[in-house]
Amino acid sequence: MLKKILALAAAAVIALMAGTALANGNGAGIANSPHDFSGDSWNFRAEICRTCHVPHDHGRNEALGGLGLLWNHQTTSQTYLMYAEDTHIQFIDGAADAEPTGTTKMCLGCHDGTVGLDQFDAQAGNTGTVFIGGGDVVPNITTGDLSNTHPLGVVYDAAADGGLFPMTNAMGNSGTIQDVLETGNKIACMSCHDVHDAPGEAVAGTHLLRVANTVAAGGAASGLCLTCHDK
Amino acid sequence: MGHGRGNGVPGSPHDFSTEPWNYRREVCVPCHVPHDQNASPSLQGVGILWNHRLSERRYTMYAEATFTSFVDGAADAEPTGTTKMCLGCHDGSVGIDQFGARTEGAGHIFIQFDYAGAQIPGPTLMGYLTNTHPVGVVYSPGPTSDLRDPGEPMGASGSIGDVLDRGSRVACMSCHDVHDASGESVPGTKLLRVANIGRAGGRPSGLCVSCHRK
Repeated sequence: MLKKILALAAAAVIALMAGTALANGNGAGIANSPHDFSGDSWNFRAEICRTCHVPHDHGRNEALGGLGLLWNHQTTSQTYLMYAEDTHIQFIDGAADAEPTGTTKMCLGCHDGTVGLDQFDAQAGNTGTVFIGGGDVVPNITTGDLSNTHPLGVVYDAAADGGLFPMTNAMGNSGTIQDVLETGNKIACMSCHDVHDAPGEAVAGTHLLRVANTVAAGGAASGLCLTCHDK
Repeated sequence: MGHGRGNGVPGSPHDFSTEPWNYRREVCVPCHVPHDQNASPSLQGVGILWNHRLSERRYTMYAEATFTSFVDGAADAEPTGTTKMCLGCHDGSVGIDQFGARTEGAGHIFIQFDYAGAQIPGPTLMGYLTNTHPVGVVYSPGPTSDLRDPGEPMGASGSIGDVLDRGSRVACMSCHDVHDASGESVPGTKLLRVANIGRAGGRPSGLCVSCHRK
């Protein structure tokens, strides 16, 4: 508990220090994107990929939960209140996970605000000293409440939910909606966001969105939402 | 085991010519032999004059894990080609001294004890390649793939296609130049074909982005 309080205190400090340091994406690749930490003083390896992935982990991934994708970063131990557990469960038609899984769990490792950005590679398991804050924190940082975050870990079931377009519909530049769903056709952070800020995938000037959500960003109003939701 | 020097096999981390266990005191012979005299039945048909015992271990591969959906290319069920050769020593199951006339004998020198840190994947998870970069997967860039075209440059080797194993498979040799060759292997690295950090003379994660369009 003390560790968590310290972490939260540190997160608050960093949030004040960092302010809006993390800009929007460029849609030009991971280098110089909001997820390029190669120039940050806490990144002891000064690499880009290694803060998240490592080609040979020498068994470390198992200690980190066996998430796969050569994951190289401490994951969160937070227990979450999911969207579908809340009072609006009647609006969910697809099967829903009880806790975040897959790549969503990876994202939350930093983005729930309780795990340090610097807790990676040999420093996974150490106490973190650099935390995200402010608008980059996704759930309620103290309670882990994801009930006001777009459903995650929910099966995209257009057959059960008439308000969803078929998975075969086009989605951004990725191909189809199904191409941005995770194993088991589950909705994940990566369904809307391209974490690598890849050219032709992430829309420049947005939070790494796969489809622009505003006219100003070069798309239709709520274009991202209406890619999947037939509203 | 130090890092490579990018100056050829002699003096490299794979030069065992002065090791007490190397009864031949040669550089090449722990791995290759010009005439094997058919002395080692287990090496028949392995290729590239292989002179070292192969691992009999069965592996759990990257693409067998739950995140198969992120692998697009066809994936081998077990390591093949040169990867199988590398793992003979690097998985820790075969003795480094099990070569030549000693191929079929018992091993005494093992990587995890004598060259700690060079073991793949690690001492507690022998046989699990799930957390090692995919090997034995066909390099298959498609129209929407995050992989670069095989014709694009790769280190000093020429192209990405030049560092793929038979059948365009990703292998250990895709990233590592086992012979620490001059002009191939970046000095001061683990025999990498492209530097991955600025202080090794490259861009941050330069090796990764040689193939991955991220």
